[in-house]
Amino acid sequence: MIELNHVTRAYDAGPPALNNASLSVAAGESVAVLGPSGSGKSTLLNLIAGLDRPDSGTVTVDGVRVDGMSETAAAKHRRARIGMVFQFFHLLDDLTVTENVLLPARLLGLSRKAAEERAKRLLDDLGVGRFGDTHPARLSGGQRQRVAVARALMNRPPVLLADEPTGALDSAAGAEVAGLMKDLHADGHTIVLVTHDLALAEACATRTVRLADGEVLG
Amino acid sequence: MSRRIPAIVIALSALIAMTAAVLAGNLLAVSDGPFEDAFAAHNGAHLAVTGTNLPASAPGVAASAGPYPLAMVTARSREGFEIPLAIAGREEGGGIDALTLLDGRWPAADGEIVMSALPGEGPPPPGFAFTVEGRELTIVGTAYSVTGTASAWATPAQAAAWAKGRTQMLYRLSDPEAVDAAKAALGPVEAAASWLDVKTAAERDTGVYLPFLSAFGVLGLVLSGLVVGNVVAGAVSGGRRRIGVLKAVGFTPAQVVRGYVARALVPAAVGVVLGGVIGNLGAVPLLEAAGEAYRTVPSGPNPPVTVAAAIGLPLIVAVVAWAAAARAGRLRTVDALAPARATGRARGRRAAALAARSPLPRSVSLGLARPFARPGRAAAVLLAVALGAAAVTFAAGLATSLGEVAAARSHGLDVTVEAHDDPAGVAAKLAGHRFYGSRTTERIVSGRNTDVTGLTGDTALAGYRMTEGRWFSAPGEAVAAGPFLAATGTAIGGTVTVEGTTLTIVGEVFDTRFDGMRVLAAAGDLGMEPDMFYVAGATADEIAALGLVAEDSGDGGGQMIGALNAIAAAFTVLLVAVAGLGVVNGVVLDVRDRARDLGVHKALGMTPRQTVAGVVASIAPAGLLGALLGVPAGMALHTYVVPAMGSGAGTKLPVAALEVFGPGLLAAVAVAGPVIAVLGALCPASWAAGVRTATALRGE
Ligand SMILES: Nc1ncnc2c1ncn2[C@@H]1O[C@H](COP(=O)(O)OP(=O)(O)O)[C@@H](O)[C@H]1O
Ligand SMILES: [Mg+2]
Repeated sequence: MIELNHVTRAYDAGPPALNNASLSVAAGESVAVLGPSGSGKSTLLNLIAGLDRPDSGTVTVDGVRVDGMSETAAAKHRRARIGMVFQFFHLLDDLTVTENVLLPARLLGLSRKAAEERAKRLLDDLGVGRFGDTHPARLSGGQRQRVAVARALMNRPPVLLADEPTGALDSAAGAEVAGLMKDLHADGHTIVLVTHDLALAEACATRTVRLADGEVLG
Repeated sequence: MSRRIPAIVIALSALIAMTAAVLAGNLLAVSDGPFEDAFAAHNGAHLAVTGTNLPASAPGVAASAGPYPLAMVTARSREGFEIPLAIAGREEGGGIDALTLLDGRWPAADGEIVMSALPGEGPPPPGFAFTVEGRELTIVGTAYSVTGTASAWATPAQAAAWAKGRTQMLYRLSDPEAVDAAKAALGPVEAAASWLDVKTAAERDTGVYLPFLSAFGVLGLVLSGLVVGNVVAGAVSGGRRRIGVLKAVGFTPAQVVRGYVARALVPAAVGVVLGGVIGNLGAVPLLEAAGEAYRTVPSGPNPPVTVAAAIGLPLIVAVVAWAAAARAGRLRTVDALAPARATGRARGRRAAALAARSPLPRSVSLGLARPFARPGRAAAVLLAVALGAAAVTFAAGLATSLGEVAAARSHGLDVTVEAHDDPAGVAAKLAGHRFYGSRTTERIVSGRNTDVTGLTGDTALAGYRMTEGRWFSAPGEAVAAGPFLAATGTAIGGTVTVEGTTLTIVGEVFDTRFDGMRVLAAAGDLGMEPDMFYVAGATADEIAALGLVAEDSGDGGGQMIGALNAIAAAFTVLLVAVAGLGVVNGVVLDVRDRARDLGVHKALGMTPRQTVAGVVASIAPAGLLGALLGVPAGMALHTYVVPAMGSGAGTKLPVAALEVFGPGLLAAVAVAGPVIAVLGALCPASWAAGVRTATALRGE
């Protein structure tokens, strides 16, 4: 499902954030990428999402080359195939919870009615249904991350990318989100989970990969 | 790139404001200086009177010179043109209205004259010659009279031979303003010229420039101030964290504010220096034009103007920046250091929610809600667009008005035909064509030297435009230009006497030639025969085939109108640029504020084009509303300034030049607001679209 081949990405200053990294994730797998802060984990996810481009090497998702895609093509790639969850949730504060979840569907141009039904079901399933009309600022961290997950799942993407999804949560909320990731994997989603939290990795990953100084250690 | 934009915007705004201030200031300084200086230096005549047996002293007269013999002759150029000349018999210099020889020598013998010229005009072209009463005159030089008391000078003996007893007296008055009283005290005179008329004529050119330069100057200052204030306010709101840190380490509020003021002053200083250079360079041709109009030696740019502007503008920038940055001083440190809170404004949120629910594409609805989240910034952008649209509207209206004025002043048709010897024969040969004939001579009408034009044929073709009343039609009717009517106290319906013929004035015509001292009537009524014919819808060759001396008419004058249009166009471009920069700045600030939101959208699959559309949509309301406010404002400015320019030039303007905003022009200028807004937004929008999402989404 996801193939990184000898990928290198260096920012202007300093050593490469990713150095000749290769990674293969099969459909339905849940892979945890472990590594200390600054080891290149976010860079790896951004490359898969087409938010960033490698300096060399290839990135393939669902049989499609993502490196070298135009910005427009990459945007469409994300709409259809990628759901993203971030450490800091990145919900839009000026929209309600439901409207946040509806965003990807609106970008895809889905009919409003069908999208609203799906958003409601997703929020209900994730246990935050009753917050549909509130603004994210009113919610706790764990609740916000559930909303973010709902948003990521809105367009039924085959791939879910999560960047430290528990990094901003207390341990109880973190455990909830860990359970959620596990359920999603059980539902057949392909997941790449980035974390430096060993417990989270063990709880919901079928395989772990270590990154250090931009190199994949296996 | 976004980091440098505020400084560039401030520098450009300051540059434009400085250029405008230097140009307008120099014209202002020149408008009340040189003529009076030159008048004093040459001991100009307050009153120059033509007549016979004029008294040497009278109540109100402080000193007098003369009598000088004064000949009113009609000179014929070699090409056959007739030129009225007032030739006075004087020596060089003189106690009153001292004559200065500009080049050549003073006439020493019969048949020699010096021509009156303005400094810098130079001698007439070589080979240029006149005959007067069949005798060829030799032009031996040019001379300058500050009060323009004659068009040429000859030896007293020569002038006396032509003068038929007519003399000229020059008076200095004890009260220079009491010209009319002094004139009355002299008893009956043939003609009198007041120095006040010369002064008015000298000030006419700046009278034209000042109203619209001031309009552009004020627009420029307001716009620049607005943009500078907005840039600084934006820097403050974008620098909350920085302000907090500065205060936390011990900066006082005043020091923080001073820092922002300094950050505005540095680029403003760069703009002021460049604007000072450009303004002074641009002032040179303007002042030359003004100097010619003042009948004085053209002066260079006035350094104190530049100095004053160079001090004043940074002061304005400092005050505006201080006002805009004051918030930084008041900001509580704890608030500044607290993580950015959710956009708390209910208004913005409601708008965002409404937009989110709207059936519009998300990219567009995302943008449309923005102005509500930051009403202050949106208002500043709106104002910038409105001022830009107002400038465009005003300039377009001005250009159209000037075009109408040019049309009203151009009386030549396609072909010009000379008819000195046999006017009736020429008219007969032209019978199959549309034409009119005319002759202009200088006469004394109601005691004033006046250009009198007699017209024959289809006089409507001559294209004169009325400012009041109607064109002459019945025998005994005439029209006159506004300055003539004002100077002679004649009203429409009143009469004037030209060479013994009484004519009824039926209309005020727009005519600025000969300082508007103009009367026009049917040639027959004036006892004249045309010396020129103008033919429409023909070529010179066709007319020459009739056995006539014909040439294609060239472009008539219009230099000042060209200059006015060029200045207006330059100012408009500059103002639109500042307005556009105001938009750029507002959008840059907005995009920076929204970097994370835009990043989220991109992560969810928003394409670059949708991002650009969203940012542009956020500016669309300002563009439309800006046009809605700016176009009427520009029209109002036009309504106010164009007649003021006319009255500065001493004339009313034809109606066609005042009512210029038809549907076509309105539609054209209405586009200006949206265009400024969209162009200003496009650059930061594509920057927003191109920014690395990964960077925008990195953690706090
Ligand atoms: N936009 C960027 N510009 C410059 N350097 C960056 C940027 N993003 C990440 N880096 C650097 O690349 C390295 C890897 O970063 P990242 O992938 O965010 O690591 P992780 O997510 O594992 O903490 C770090 O040294 C980081 O400072
Ligand atoms: Mg990271």
